[in-house]
Amino acid sequence: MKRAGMVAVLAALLAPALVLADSPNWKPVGELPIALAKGKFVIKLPDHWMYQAGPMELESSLHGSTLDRILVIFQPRSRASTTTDTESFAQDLLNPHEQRDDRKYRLESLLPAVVAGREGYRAEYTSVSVSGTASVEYRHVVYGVKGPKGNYSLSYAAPAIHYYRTSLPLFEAAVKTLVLR
Amino acid sequence: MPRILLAESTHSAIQDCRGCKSGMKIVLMRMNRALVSLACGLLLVGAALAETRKVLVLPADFHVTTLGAGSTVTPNPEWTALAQENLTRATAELVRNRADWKLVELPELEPADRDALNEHIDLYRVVVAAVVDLTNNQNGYWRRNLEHTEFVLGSGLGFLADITGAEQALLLAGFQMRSTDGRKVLSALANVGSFLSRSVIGFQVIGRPVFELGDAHTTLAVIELRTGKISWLTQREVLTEDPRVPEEAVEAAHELFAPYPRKSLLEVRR
Repeated sequence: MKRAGMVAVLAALLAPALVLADSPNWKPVGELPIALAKGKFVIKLPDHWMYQAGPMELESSLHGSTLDRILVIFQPRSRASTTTDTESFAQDLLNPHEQRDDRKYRLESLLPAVVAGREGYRAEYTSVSVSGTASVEYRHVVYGVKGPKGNYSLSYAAPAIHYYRTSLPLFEAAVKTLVLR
Repeated sequence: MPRILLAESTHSAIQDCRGCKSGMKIVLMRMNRALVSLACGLLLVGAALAETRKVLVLPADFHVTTLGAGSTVTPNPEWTALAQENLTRATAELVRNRADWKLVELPELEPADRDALNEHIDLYRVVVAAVVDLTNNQNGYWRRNLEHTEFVLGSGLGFLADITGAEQALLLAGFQMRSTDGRKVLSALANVGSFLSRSVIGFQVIGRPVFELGDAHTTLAVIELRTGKISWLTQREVLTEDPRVPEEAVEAAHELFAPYPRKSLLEVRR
């Protein structure tokens, strides 16, 4: 069992602590949109949520990352997927999100969508987070679009029970505020 | 029953008063009788008004593991089953002990309902972990932002309210990691080594955290079954009791429940 056994027991109660405890960069979302990746994209996140920003990505949550999370990832053109196949493109943009959660997403739907005034896609996924004897089903929505300086993916993840439905409209509203530069 | 007692007591009081020659005593006795009657009446009305709430006790979600000499953690299904049984009984006793609560035990559930309950208990673990993390978080922004949050399990447990008539449920959850004998021996040796190193060479060579003797975390929550709202939540970050022993499980549950209905983890943050 070794360390995996430790995780099996502790993660059920303490996993979010591992996510947040070392995150002094979280701040409340203000009234103004947030510009990131050297101004390559701007987005207005839901009121009262918290966010932390890295060089190429933005993470936001209200109840903690395990209960609701918006994640925006920018891939510069040099590292961005160049495939023209929609499913391959969707998978390429999904990879960093999957790596974050360390679990496999199952595709439920993949449809064209307009993102920041450009042709993109909207995909829905499910996944199961297993910690010891506990397993919680998550639902995800991922938008993807090719921008002038790279590719962008915006994901929303929450437990299927209650939290997904509650914050989904807030995520959809945030996607509509995305501006690419 | 109280009415009969009252009638008997007032009757004997009147009998006593027949021998009294003082008019004042008779007046006082009549006033006393009136006050007693009034108090008893109020008690009867109060008892009728104070409805006892049905409270459902959910099966304790408690897991016991062993922590070996090499820091290996192994789930122990036998100990877990024993602790769960004892802690569920202990939680039921908490409900029985309250005059305003009426115990409702979980009936046999259909497989689909059983799955739904388990899914919500699993979600409870995630929710409680988030609450504990955010309330303890060193980042003050998170703590201040908690006023905008609502930690719930959704409305999916409403079927339990329909089945049992209970509007609330009590759930005890957590884990205890117990050291093996080998680890205890190693820990003792480490302590001796630490003492000697401090005495002989002036500083500690072996750190105690290397041989921690275990860990535990327990929570107890009152859950509104129709909304999934966690209306009261408490936690203990240490567990000195052994929940495999029935009496100690009762002690552990009582310790958790002692602050009810005050000091909810969800209120402290506001």
